[in-house]
Amino acid sequence: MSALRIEGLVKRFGGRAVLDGVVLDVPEGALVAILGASGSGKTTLLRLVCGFEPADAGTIALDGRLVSAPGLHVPAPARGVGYVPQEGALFPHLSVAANVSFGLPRRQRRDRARIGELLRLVGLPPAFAARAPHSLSGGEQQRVALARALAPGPRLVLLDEPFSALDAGLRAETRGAVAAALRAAGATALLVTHDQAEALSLGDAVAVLREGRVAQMADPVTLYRRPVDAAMARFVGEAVMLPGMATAGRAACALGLLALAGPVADGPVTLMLRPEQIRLVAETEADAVGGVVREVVFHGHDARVEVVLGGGAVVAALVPGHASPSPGEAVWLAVRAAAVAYAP
Amino acid sequence: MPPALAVAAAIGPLLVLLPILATLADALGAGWSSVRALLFRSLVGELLVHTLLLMAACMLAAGVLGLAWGWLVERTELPGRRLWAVLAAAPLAIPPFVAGYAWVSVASVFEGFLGAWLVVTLTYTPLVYLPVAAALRGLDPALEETAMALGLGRWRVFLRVVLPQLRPALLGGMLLVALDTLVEFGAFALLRYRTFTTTIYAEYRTGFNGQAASVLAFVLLLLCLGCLALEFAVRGRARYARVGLGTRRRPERLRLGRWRVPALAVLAIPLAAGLVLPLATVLYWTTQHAAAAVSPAAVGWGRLLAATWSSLSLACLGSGLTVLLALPLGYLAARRPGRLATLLERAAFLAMGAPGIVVALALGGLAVRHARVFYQSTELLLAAYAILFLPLAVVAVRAALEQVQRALEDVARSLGQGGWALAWRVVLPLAGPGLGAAAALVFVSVSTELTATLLLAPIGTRTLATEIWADTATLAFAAAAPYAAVMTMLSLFSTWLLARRLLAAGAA
Repeated sequence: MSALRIEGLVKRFGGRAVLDGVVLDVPEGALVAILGASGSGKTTLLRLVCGFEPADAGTIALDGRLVSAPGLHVPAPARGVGYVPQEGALFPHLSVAANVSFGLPRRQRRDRARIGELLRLVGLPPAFAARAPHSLSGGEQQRVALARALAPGPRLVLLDEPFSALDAGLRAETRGAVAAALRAAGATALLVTHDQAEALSLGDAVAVLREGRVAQMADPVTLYRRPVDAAMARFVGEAVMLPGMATAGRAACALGLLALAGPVADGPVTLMLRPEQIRLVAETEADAVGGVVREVVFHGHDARVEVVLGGGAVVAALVPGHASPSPGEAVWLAVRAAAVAYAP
Repeated sequence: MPPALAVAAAIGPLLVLLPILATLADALGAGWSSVRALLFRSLVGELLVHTLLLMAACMLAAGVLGLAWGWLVERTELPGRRLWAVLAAAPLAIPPFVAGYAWVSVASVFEGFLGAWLVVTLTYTPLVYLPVAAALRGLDPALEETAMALGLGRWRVFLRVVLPQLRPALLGGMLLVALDTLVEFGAFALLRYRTFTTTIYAEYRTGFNGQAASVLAFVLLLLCLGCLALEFAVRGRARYARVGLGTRRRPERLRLGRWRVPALAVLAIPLAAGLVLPLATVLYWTTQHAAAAVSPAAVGWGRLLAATWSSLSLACLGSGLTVLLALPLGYLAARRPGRLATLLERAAFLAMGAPGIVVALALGGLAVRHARVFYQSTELLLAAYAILFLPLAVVAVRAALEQVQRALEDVARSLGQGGWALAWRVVLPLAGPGLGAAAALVFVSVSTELTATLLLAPIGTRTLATEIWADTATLAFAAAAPYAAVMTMLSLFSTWLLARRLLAAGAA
């Protein structure tokens, strides 16, 4: 059974549809990342699922129980959905222990063993229980917020950009701890983010929200390798776009004759490659295409190299840092794996 | 939105509209010809000249002084500026009629315009100083630095960059001074300076021409509401100007050099006159035997305690009722902003333009004609307090509720806590100190209120304010002194508590 099933969900603010027919099906135990640019409606979607605001149309069902439908709005306190807001939002007047036990029935709020267990679940020592929220670092606050959300044992936990306020080093560490805690608790989770790398690395599945609709929902590998359209390809990572001509499952373009992912009708197409698919090779290699390096942006572990091909087309390649060429150098390129073809 | 919340929020604003509409009805009820006869007479012209002249003088003096104080405290290396920052707000703790009593008991030269001007300016300069200082703190020093990089000298930077940005705060503060000049009654009565308020009181006390008083009240109300509308327009524009608040660097402070002593004098002399003189005078008179007064009245401990007790109990009840009325309105404004919230909030703010004497006369009149049981009742007096101080309470309650981040309420609801549990476990603990401050603000205001208390207090109820009034009116300065001392102490203590809280909040 689906932990969360959303159908035709619409929410308007002042006549503008922020959500315009969202369809989403989250299987039990999955961690689904909702990826979207700012203004795509991802936070609104989350607030509707929590029950903070009523929907204008469509339905939301939790574990098969309808909680939002025309004429039905189960209020937030009765939904039992865990919620971790941006920057944690710990109750500043309560200790860590009182924050974690906030949603528990009165008698269990003093159960130290249970609080210690919850803290351990999110990777914090039980000694943190007595501390005040303001004495914790951002990442620790975020973990306490997750422990608080998990305490009443919700079937579904919603996380709203939980790592955006943390600096880079802390972010990776907190991300790992949060993912581990969610899996250990066996909760289904929905994580809202605008960070592609975060969505791809954390989610069992990623749903991309665009103009108030789910434009594509897929596992991270499929989303990255086979985006539904050119705009989606650019949104989830850097894309090299080249015009080409498809014949019998292969396409001719400025980089030579490329294999295509999936069946494609013969005719003109737009081809999409990821920069890391383009390698620098020796001139002697079969099918190598020549070009001149125009610009190199060196990142250390790798470098982004822009190459002008013989026909004037410009492609970007991601090469290992140790093999980074210099601007003006003549190089030879070859393509690994298949290209994705879109209608031109 | 729950309809119960809307209804609860509307009670306060409707209460505020009651005396305003009643005054309009009383003034215009007898037909235009009689209104015209009462309106276009030399008395009204004389009062207008008196009132507007004083208003202009006070606005100007308080504006110049408040601007200077703000700039000295915020932008120069003034010695002891932290202490000055607190002291500059302190004159607000001295009730103007106590200051008036102090000046008039020092020398009779201060009777009339001079005393009125001094008392209002010295008491209300903080109303300009506080917003100007806050605005100066909020200015981005990068703007001034850019102007200097463009070749403008320090004085021109002040005129062309700083002053325009301070304009809303400065003008808004000056208009509040104007408003307080219009509604002040006690100080002017003691200093024998005739304005609308004192004349309305005299007409009410001597004659029984209710309509004459109502027409004067109507003119006064129009002046006040005009000031209020201007103030709102000025502040409204200020909201535009605040774009992109971020963390700002502290601006460079100006070295005063040989200007240090004159700069200190700009703060020290007015504060000595506004703060030290009233306190010293009151203390002096308490040491004099009551017999030294021109017309001795027996002051026993019993009477002093009784007056203190009635002041305190009225202030408790008044602040309780006012905050109770302000709570749903503040919640509505903080949490469900919209057309209804704005409308109700603005209606409540009209009370700022309703002078105590107008509200008291209107309520008294309504009670006599329509609800005799309430005439001369404590309930009616409490209603008057609630009307007069509702704006104060709404602003403070709203600020307190806005302290509670919305996300915290969301989290609590997602954890199954709604309604009362949410209020009890999250909103009250977080907003509690702010709500307490709101109650304290109203408490101070009620305990020093004179006009409405004088007109509406049940027979036999004597507060500190009415005792001071009664004794001073008969020139029994020594007899008034113990009451004035107790009241000033109460007021200073509460103001100190509030200031400490505000400073602590600012430091956190």
